[in-house]
Amino acid sequence: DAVSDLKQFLGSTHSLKAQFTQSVTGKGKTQTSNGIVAIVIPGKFRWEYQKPYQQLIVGDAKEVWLYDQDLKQATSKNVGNALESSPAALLAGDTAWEKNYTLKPLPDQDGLSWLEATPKRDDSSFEHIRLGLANGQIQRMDLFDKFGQTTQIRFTQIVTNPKLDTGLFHFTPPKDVDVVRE
Amino acid sequence: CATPPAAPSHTGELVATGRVAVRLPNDSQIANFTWRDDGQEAALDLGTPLGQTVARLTFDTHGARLKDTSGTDTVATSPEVLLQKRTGWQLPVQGMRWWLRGKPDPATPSVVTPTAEGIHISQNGWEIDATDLRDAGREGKLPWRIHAAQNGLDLKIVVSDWQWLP
Repeated sequence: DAVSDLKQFLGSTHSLKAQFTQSVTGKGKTQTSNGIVAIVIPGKFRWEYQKPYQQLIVGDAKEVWLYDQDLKQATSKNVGNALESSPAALLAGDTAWEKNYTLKPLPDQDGLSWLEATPKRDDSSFEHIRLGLANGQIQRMDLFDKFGQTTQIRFTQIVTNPKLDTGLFHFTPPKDVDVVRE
Repeated sequence: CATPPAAPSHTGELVATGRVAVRLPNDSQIANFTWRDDGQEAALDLGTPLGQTVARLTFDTHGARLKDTSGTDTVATSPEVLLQKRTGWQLPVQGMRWWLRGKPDPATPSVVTPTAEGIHISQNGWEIDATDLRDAGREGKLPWRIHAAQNGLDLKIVVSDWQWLP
């Protein structure tokens, strides 16, 4: 089932890159964006929104950078709370799933095997996450926040265990950008 | 036709989604936001890039309420004070009801000067620039970039979508 598929994914995956499409449904029209994700387990991730706007989240073992190109501003948070709250980081934190979430298999759907991960901490920003897996890869990640909003993330062109340049996981703020480190 | 009515009193709800950044001498915050205003009540959702709302502030002329991820609801008279106390975010939300639409708050004095890129408003100690104005039908023109500054606090807003919900 999906829980054993997830364990197989975590056991066999050391790095990953993919394209993603994100659609957030809440009040009003669904907001869609897309971009690329790159991950080196444990703890290194790059979550880059390319359309309709450019926003970059880069995390390494120490800190997580959030850079918004239009706003010309970058903030860095220490890894502690950012890692727990950002599902992108969860993909990179191999032990995080069992430690921080209770995992429950769900019925198969859309050709994927599903599991529901409910955070053990109650101050997390979402109620639960649902992962849709197929042939040992996470193809869908759905996030349900505490305000009735749903985010659906679809991964495509997934490459497992690619060789990734470590520069992907460092962020150097461009000159004209406001930067504040926590 | 006549210029759009000053107060957002028409039926329906104006919804903006985008990103907001606040820069203080020693702190900086970035969040995704959704802003809703039906003329009576305004609501601001602050959230993560992945779409999770972490705090929802609703307010009208009488008072404000804020709900966060712990599920607790807190009420106060001032939306600004409540937002800052509960989330640390310092946002002039009552003024933003108007500035987000490129208009001054009619309740207090202001100086409005058109600029090459849009409109400049001086009000309540804030210097506001609403730029990248685009046609929005009966709403007239709406800004997609707002910058507001007040001694040491710098606020930048970029709208990625304006919607009108009947």
